[in-house]
Amino acid sequence: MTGPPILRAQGVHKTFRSRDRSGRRHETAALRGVDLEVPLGGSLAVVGESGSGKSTLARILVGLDAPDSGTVHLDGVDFPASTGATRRALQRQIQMIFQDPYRSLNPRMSVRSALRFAHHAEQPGADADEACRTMMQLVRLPESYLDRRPHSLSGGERQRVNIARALIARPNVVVADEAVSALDRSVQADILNLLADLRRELRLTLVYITHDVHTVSAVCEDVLVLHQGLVVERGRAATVMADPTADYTRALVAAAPTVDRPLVTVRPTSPPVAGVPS
Amino acid sequence: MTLTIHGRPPASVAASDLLAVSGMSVSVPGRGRREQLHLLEDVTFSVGAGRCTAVIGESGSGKSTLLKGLLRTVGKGSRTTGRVHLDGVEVSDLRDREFAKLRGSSMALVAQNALAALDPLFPVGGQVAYLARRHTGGDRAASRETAVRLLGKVGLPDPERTAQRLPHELSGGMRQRCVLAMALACGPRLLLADEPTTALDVITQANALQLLRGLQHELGMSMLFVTHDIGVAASVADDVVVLYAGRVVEQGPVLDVLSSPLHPYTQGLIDANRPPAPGERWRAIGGEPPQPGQRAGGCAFAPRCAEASSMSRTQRPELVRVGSVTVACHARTGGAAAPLDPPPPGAAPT
Ligand SMILES: Nc1ncnc2c1ncn2[C@@H]1O[C@H](COP(=O)(O)OP(=O)(O)O)[C@@H](O)[C@H]1O
Ligand code: SF4
Ligand SMILES: [Mg+2]
Repeated sequence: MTGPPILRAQGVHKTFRSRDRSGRRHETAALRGVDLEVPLGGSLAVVGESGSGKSTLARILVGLDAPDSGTVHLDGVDFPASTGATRRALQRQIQMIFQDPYRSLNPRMSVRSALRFAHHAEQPGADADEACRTMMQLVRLPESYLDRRPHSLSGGERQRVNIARALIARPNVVVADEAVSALDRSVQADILNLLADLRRELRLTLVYITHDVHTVSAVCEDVLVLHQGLVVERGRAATVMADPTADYTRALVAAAPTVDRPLVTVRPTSPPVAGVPS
Repeated sequence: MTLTIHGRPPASVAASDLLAVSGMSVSVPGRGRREQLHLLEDVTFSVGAGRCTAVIGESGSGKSTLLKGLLRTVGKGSRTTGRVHLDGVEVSDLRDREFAKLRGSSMALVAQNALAALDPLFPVGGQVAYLARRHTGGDRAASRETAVRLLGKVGLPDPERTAQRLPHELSGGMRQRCVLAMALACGPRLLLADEPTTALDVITQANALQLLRGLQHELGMSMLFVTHDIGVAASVADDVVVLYAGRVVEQGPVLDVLSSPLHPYTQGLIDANRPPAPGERWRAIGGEPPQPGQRAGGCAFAPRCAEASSMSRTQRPELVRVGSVTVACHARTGGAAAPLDPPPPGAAPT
């Protein structure tokens, strides 16, 4: 994928300071100088274990949090440093699909209200009902679902609503933070197909944040591996996942069991059970 | 593909089975008066001595209910029927009080959520010691020693000091090991594990699976391992039971079931687990499993199955033995309405 980077982060640092119950100070360096670049229409996977800084990075990329130092350029403009109308325009361009479909939707809000709310926040005055209907078509849900509440939807349906909510602002870039991790693989497959279709239809740029090495090369062209706030490896997703060079990436890939490549665990050499040939 | 049909799975308990469950059904009260929701229906399977059986299926298929049914913790107003043999003894007829003694002695649960299973206010060593004391009835000093030994056994570094720690001072992986130590404190013959590694990071999970498997081997325990992750099942299990909509649809040795699945649902689960080449589409099953109470007659998988026939929609397929596995699917058992006769003694399976 070529083209100018629509999203570029340089030297992003973020440290969290907190106090524990006994009043002791703690500092967590969540990001320690992260660089990344995503070309227009491209896709970048950010892979790492919990605590590696993935969600912190996601929040900074979409402007929900500010870096301590470093820059994030969106469409050539320094996003965290921007203000006023410039910031609002940039804000619309980049949207997040959140981690947990069960918690990120307000249980008391109908799907329509959730979508209208997101729509109004980004485009006050525009025709919200029309936009809601378009979104439902886009995520392949029946229009009648607009009047339903989250608890009456399945996990996969809720995640479709989440996607609709992110897309109603018509962003160029979506940041998906563990967007399919809570779903069964069978449902995951549907949602990942939908994401791929939407990327093509809407020419979206995707930042796909996940702890799941398994899906990376099928979903993204490029990958960046995060470990304790540092980028330990980056490159083409297919290459890195098939043939990682960093020790950490290698450990990560080797530890992920798949049906075709199970982990080699101890297999008890107990006598075979009578009647069950082995 | 030629298949040899060998008749009904044995209803009798094989001497080498540590756990044998037959015809287990679990229902809970529904919304309406008198309405019962059937969460599990006619579930029959076994766990061999020293072996690990994985239970797989999508969420809502009844995996956790199966464990709760075995532990009699389904909840108020529920009904559990069927026979359960543990170590050759029928336990389904035991009164609750007698049964409670088994829970935590013959069988113990390794919970999914370590944080919820541990008391946040007490050092982990004391929590393990408490269970050990309740089980063996020894004195405090002895049970404390047992606790430290078990914490070491589950691979925690410096068990003496770790025993003094509070749960929140430990990492997720270490907490999960503490929960395992608690389960081991009563010297169980059978470990019941409900997604014990799902919340862990992948490297931590790999270590935990290795540990579980090693301990199972060393202590001669059997394990019933519930997971939605087929890769995990393939890694830890000797045998696998595939649940769909509260029923067993396929079961058998893990290598046979996962390398040449017979049931279209098992095939679908495996396909959805295989990442496509870049740019290609994922092979999704499509649709989602039916909720209890919304399950159609006939085969519950029919609405999602590409091979469904008219028979699939009207007649529920029974479990039939095909070679080393049993499967419930008309398309795989030649549309046999009733299971065939058992094979002549000594017939070799193919
Ligand atoms: N609001 C916060 N306050 C204090 N520490 C935080 C906060 N958010 C994240 N952290 C810490 O920063 C590190 C990185 O966290 P996060 O970005 O959530 O990682 P990931 O998403 O990869 O799991 C972790 O050690 C986490 O505990
Ligand atoms: S019985 Fe019919 S619907 Fe059910 S799995 Fe077999 S072919 Fe599919
Ligand atoms: Mg996160």
